Amino acid sequence: MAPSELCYFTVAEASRRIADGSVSPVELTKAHLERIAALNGRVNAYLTVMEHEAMAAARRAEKALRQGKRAGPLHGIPIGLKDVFDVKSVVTSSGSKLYRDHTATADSAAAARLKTAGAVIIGKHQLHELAFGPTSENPHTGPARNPWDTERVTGGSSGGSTAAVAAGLCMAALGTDTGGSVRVPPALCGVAGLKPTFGRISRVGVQPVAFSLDTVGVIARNVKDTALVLNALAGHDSSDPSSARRPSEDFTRLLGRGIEGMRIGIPKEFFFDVADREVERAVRQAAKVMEVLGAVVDEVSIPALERTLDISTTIAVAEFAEFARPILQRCAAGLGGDVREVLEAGMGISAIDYIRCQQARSWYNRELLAAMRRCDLLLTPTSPIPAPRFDEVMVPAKAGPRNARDVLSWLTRPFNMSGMPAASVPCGFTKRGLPIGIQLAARPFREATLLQAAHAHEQATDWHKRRPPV
Amino acid sequence: MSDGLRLRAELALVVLTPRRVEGALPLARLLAEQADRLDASHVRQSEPAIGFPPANP
Repeated sequence: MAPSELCYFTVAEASRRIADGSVSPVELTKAHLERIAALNGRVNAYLTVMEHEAMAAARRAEKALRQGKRAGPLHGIPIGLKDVFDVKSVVTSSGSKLYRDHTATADSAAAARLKTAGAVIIGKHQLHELAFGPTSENPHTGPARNPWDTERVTGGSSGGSTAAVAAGLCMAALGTDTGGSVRVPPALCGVAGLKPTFGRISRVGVQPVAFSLDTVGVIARNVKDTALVLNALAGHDSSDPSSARRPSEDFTRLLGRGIEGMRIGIPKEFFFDVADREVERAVRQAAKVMEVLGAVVDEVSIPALERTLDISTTIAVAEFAEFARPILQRCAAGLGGDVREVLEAGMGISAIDYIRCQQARSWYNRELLAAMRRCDLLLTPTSPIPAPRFDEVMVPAKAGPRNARDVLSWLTRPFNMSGMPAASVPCGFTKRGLPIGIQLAARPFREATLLQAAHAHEQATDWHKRRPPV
Repeated sequence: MSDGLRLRAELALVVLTPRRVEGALPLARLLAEQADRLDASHVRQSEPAIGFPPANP
């Protein structure tokens, strides 16, 4: 079997083959390492390739199999991590030259859970500096490049992780999402991304950005794989004060059940204000697919959405500035221009404005949750535009030209504010061959329902089966 | 944007980050302007300040 075929197995398929002995963890890991060596120069997805650690882990996984000890569906599966997750004895750079010598002394909770589940951690991924930015253009390490067109951005900040998954350089990846970072890149790169409910996955050992918004998320090539990885990660962690006291559950349990009678709302406000025409068409088509599958799709009015940007920007920037204040004070010159600009602006936010926005957020979240009493899910575009070129500043949009970097994360922020789970899955391609994603959002802790609907849409289409030309 | 708002944003930045980069001031103004757009219909004075997390209510 060609190594590239191995690298494009789904997690579920690779897992089945590992279990029946037709593929070995060592073979699978080796194929990925060879593909990374061949392609990483083109997509710049990896900052650190953990070749020796990964091969050692694969050999351990193989030995365990020989002893009849299979840890579960992730046993022997190569998974990569955005370079904000600590892995013991490996550098966590956060995409910044200020942290390039920071070697982790312990595993993050998420990395530890992956190891317990038998996964092979294969490397650390490129990202927007300090995980704050929508493109993964990084002045210190170069940009992550979109595997569908390497002259275009991946989206951010989990851009390297998404490029790696899309290009077959790992089977799944962990990212973090403060304003859309595990949904925007998957939409722009044609894969699946899930931001679970705030508190679902422990954040211990993960570099923070904004404490009331940050969520660990999963990127994979299809919905079932996303659910399998979430199964390994979800669960209460007493070391993380923001961790939800929720029992673990099987997030694959509703996959394949269909969506007959499910109520899906398409918000009237906000989400289509700046949407590119091709994006809007693809999203409306996805809604029709859902209808054909038996869902009841209807418009829903949520006027509070009009205040999304007014509330969310101040909260994110203020919390980021609070975290990164020592960096700004001690070594501002070591920061990239865009991140420094945000941090300096954040230093000027008054306590009054921050509190005002948090109070407004309570109102906003109540309004959003009230709308969710009328529907099981919301369906929206993930990004209003497809992947812009690196040299593209303004892009055409319905309401006139917009700054591409400004609008990329606009549509994902509502669900960081509310903490609701939200996923992006492919729903089409532009005439230029660029992926488009739909975003589905559910009530808190209803990931299983969210994945059920995303899976139904995926099974009725074949967008997720396309491979990038890289 | 009102003069008061502009002054507030500029004063804060001059005091806190005297060697600021070029784009910081317009962004600070935008943030102040956004917060100012929230009125009594969005902000209740009796509201607990932190809108989230409700992970463990």
